[in-house]
Amino acid sequence: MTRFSSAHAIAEAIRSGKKSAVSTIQETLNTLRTQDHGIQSVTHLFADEALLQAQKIDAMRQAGQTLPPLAGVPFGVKDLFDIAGHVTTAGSIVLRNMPPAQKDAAIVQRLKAAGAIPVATLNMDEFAYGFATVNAHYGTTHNPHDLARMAGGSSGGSAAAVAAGFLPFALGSDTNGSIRIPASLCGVWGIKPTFGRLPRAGAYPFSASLDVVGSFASSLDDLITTFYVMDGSTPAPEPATDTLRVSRLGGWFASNLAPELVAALDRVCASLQTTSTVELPEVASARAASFLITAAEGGNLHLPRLRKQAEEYDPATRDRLIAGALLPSSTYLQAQRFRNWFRTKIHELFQKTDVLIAPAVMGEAPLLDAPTIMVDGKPVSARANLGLFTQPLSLPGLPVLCLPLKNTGSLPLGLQLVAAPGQEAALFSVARALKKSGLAGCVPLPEKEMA
Amino acid sequence: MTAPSSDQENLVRARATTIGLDLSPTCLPGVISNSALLTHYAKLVEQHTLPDTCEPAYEYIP
Repeated sequence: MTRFSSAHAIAEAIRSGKKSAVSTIQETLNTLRTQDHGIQSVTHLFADEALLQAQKIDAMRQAGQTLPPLAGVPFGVKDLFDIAGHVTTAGSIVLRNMPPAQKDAAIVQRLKAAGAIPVATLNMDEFAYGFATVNAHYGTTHNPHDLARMAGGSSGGSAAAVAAGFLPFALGSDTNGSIRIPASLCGVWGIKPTFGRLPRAGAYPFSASLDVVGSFASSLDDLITTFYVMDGSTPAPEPATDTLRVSRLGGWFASNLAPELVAALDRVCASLQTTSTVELPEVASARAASFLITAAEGGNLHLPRLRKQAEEYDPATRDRLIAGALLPSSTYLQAQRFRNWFRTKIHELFQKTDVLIAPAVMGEAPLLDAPTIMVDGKPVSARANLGLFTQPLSLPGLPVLCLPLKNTGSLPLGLQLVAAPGQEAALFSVARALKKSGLAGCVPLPEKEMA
Repeated sequence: MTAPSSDQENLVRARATTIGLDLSPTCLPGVISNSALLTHYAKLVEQHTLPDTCEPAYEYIP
């Protein structure tokens, strides 16, 4: 069975000859065809191409060649990554008549060169504009831990496919929280690398100032291994956790939290012997600036099509994009100037600390038929407010690792580990320590959902 | 949800005209409500008096 297997275990089984790559891919495709109906994470399968790639890997092994590190490992991509020969639809029908992609997205190329095999595109909010993966064209992705609840978005199909054990890892993108929110709600590991670190070529854009590509994984080792493959670099030495100055984010990031999350944060900080709490300045404005930049750039990107075929968009996406296109230029520029001001403050903060800890989302996944969350004592739209803690950290382009908490006595909850630009290795060090202490790890599905 | 004022509607329609966008009756309420949300966020950002030397982050390096 490949379901719930890690990428490392799958690659080792193929390398040692215990399993063939073809049987691994066949099993994965069969799982996706037969087990995904209630979750709806998949939008398209690349069966023929995947099996062809698997045959090549089996032939390499039979010829005695050294296999690359991820040989035969299946993975999925958010529906906005180019796969050669296929139209990239970005969760919409608006692009369906565009020509097929000429080549794979850059990070897909790197993963394939390492032997990994893309098997499916995964559901998302249309054009990545949402936190719910509620898609008018391709359906709603359900949370594998409770099918009545949101998977989160916009990379919800990727998080759900990993949480359900269909795939050991999957690709996503994060503009305002689109990796971190679904990772938190589905109980899997996720990484939003430093802005600009991983190449975005071949990933359909949303907001050029903020878009980052990254991934989800069911194991921390797989998250780290695939990160360095996508980065095209050798793993950096990780600083010893006890040499890192770890601080808890207070203020904005300490409000509106579920009691289980507060308790888990306390346990994490105690485990790391973290006693300091720091605050970011003007967090509400940072969130607002991220919101405005996204709206303006997304609106501008889609304006030519909105003039001609607005009725083909999901109405919710369309109205957001149009409102963004109508923003005055002075508002957009003020947001971009504020971003530079905020950057300076962030760099000052990282003179005094190395890693920040913050909640990813305020609580459990909202119910799909009652999509509200409580903010400042009032019920507000989940789709508009799940990014309360992620959006302010999008603005400065910091690397963030979303860590799934274990044994919270609740549905999945996640934390953000945040480092200075380029310091992903510090995040990996802290994440390993928390995994070792038993406080973090991919959250197992309830037994009834495992059947 | 309160009905949008004619001022809000007129503003949205005027802005749409300047960028060559026809607003259909079906999208107008959603565009007005999203524009109101963005106006709220714009006020948060525009309250800051930034130094003249603070440039927009065109080529942003984290």
